[in-house]
Amino acid sequence: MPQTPASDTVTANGTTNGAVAGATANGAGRVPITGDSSGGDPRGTDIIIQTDGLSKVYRPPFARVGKTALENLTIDVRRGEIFGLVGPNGSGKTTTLKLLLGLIKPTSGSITIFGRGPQNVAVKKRIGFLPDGPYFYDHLNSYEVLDFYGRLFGYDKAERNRRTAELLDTVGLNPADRKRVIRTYSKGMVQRVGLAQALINDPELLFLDEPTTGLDPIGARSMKDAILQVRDSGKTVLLCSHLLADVQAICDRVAILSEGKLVKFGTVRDLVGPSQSFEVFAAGLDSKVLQNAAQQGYSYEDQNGNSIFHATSSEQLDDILTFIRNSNGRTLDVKGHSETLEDVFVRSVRSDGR
Amino acid sequence: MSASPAVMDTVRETTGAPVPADRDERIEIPAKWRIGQMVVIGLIVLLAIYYNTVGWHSAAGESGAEDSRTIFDQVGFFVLAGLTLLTTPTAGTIALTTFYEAVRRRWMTALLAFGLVMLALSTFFTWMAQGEEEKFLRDFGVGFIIIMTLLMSIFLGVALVPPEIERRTIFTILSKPVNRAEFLIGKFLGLCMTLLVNLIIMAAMFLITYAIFRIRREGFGDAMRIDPNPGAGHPGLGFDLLNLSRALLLHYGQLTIMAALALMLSLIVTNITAIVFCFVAYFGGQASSYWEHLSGESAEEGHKAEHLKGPMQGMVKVVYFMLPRLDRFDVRQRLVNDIPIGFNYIWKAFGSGLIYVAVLLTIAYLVFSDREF
Repeated sequence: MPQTPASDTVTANGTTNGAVAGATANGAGRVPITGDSSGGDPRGTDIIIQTDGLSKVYRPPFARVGKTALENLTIDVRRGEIFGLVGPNGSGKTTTLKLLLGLIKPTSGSITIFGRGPQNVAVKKRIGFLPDGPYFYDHLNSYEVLDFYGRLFGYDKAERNRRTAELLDTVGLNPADRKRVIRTYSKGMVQRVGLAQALINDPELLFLDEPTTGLDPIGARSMKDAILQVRDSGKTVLLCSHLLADVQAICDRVAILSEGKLVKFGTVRDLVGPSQSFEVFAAGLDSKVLQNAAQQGYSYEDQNGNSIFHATSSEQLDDILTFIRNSNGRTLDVKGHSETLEDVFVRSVRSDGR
Repeated sequence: MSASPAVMDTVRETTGAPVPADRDERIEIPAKWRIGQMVVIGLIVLLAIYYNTVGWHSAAGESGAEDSRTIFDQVGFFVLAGLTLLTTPTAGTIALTTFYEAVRRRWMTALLAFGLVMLALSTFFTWMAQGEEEKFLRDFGVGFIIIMTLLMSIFLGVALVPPEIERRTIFTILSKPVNRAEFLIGKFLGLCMTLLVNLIIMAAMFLITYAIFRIRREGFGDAMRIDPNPGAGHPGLGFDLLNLSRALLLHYGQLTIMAALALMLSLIVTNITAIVFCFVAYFGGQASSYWEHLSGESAEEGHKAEHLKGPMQGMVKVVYFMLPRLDRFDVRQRLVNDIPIGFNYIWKAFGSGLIYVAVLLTIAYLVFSDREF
């Protein structure tokens, strides 16, 4: 098992207060959480999920050696954030989710959710879960499905009716479709019912497994909006996905898993880093000025009579902007280019030996 | 934060005794439900008293033989009471949904419709048994219902939990405040409700068809007339209908056993294997009195000397103890000979059947509680 270099351990929010927030890969250089590690993070510091050295080995009956699905995972999830769990297929995302939901038991390590074990009924009353490709009793209609889940929480009929109607409105299921049985629904409609059942108990913590997979762009967008709305209402979301653009767009912090090991962990901003290259769109610069720019070592190109300068650092960007201003040109636009989460993800996974 | 969940799950009261932290946070059980549970437990206590004082084989009852009480049955009463306490409103919700889901299946509707049509048309087949039309109708009706509902119990029983795992509906259910025992009990009770409704519908169709046939043939007055001379071969229609209803009620006992067996086996082996085992157990169980005689367990004097000896006897004993005593539910001889089916008979069959079901569900829970999805 390769040890992850210390530099790969990303602090949760890039703080300078010296407290390492939350997690290390493979337990190397693990620092206990002490005090307020949130720094400037607007999200809460109240930790509601904590895993400590969590491992899972699947061992078939009578087999001597099992398959390690998850190894020594130590992460924390804080109240009010959207936490992304990403990784390629077989990286241990779903295993982690199942462990957190109490559907499987860890081989070693511990999990606490709201300070209790994951199988605790009191914990289950406070969580919601949307599985990947949810399937419901398909001979029931959406009212009956939500009524069923409401009953499991012990709500009375009036309460169930109220919550069911509200949630079906919230997830945007057409009234005409609500009395049709689930088996006649499209994937997007089933996903909406799935989100509604996950929210039936107004959970403090929501687990979402691939919530946008298979949805059309409009459906995916409304799902992302719904997730942000859930976060804005003060709830915590743990999102499991391999659609990295979605994760980058909505998550506050991300853990990247590869082959059952944690390879990156931190805020999205810290993982992708600041912009590393820039494009400056300028107008009103004649050929003499551009020749001068070339002499100063600035890289540029012409496009429809305008000039596009390329800066490879923020210092060079400052110089180019000053140059344009001094040459009586006009700056039309400045675009920064940074790594995407996908770049970070691919690099992390490859450096982990894949 | 590194405290183990077990530690986190408990808080200490001022007395210092650890108590579960969520004891008062569980889904509250309404008072009406609690009263229902107490009533059922009261019935179990009465059954246990009956068993320990009168016995399954009472002198007033069927065999007239000595009773053979076992420690297994005594433990079984406690298991039954425990399962009753675990039957919470949550289990009831799962049962209701299982029932709705089952009765809306197209193949279930088709099977039921086929059964109803066959029972309604049964009078047209009486030409095959000239002179014994009534006997033919009774044999055909009871036999047909037994076969159809037996198929339903086994096929629905093995398809009760595995599809929930395959389709991952179980993920959304077990992530709600539902424990695995409630889930299993709920699924089983839902299947029992489905079987009961199907049995009632088919039985109603059969009894109505039978009654109409006899009334049209004999006239209402003659059909209802009971010959006071025993063995005259003309019990009244009322007697017939009551006896047939009791026979079908007893058959329901068999169905619940087969459903529990199918459920338990489906958690351990593949569906096909479970179905095969169920049929083997059904036919083996029908002959359990023969296994009893062979193993030397029979209390009847006439069979004392006929049983096997040595290791063979031990093997047969194991088979006998494992098989469901389905012959206790079999009253075909009584139906043929127009002998009334007494409540003593029904008590005996249902008492031992319930204990068998409780044991099967407990085994199913032990397997299911450690299952990883």
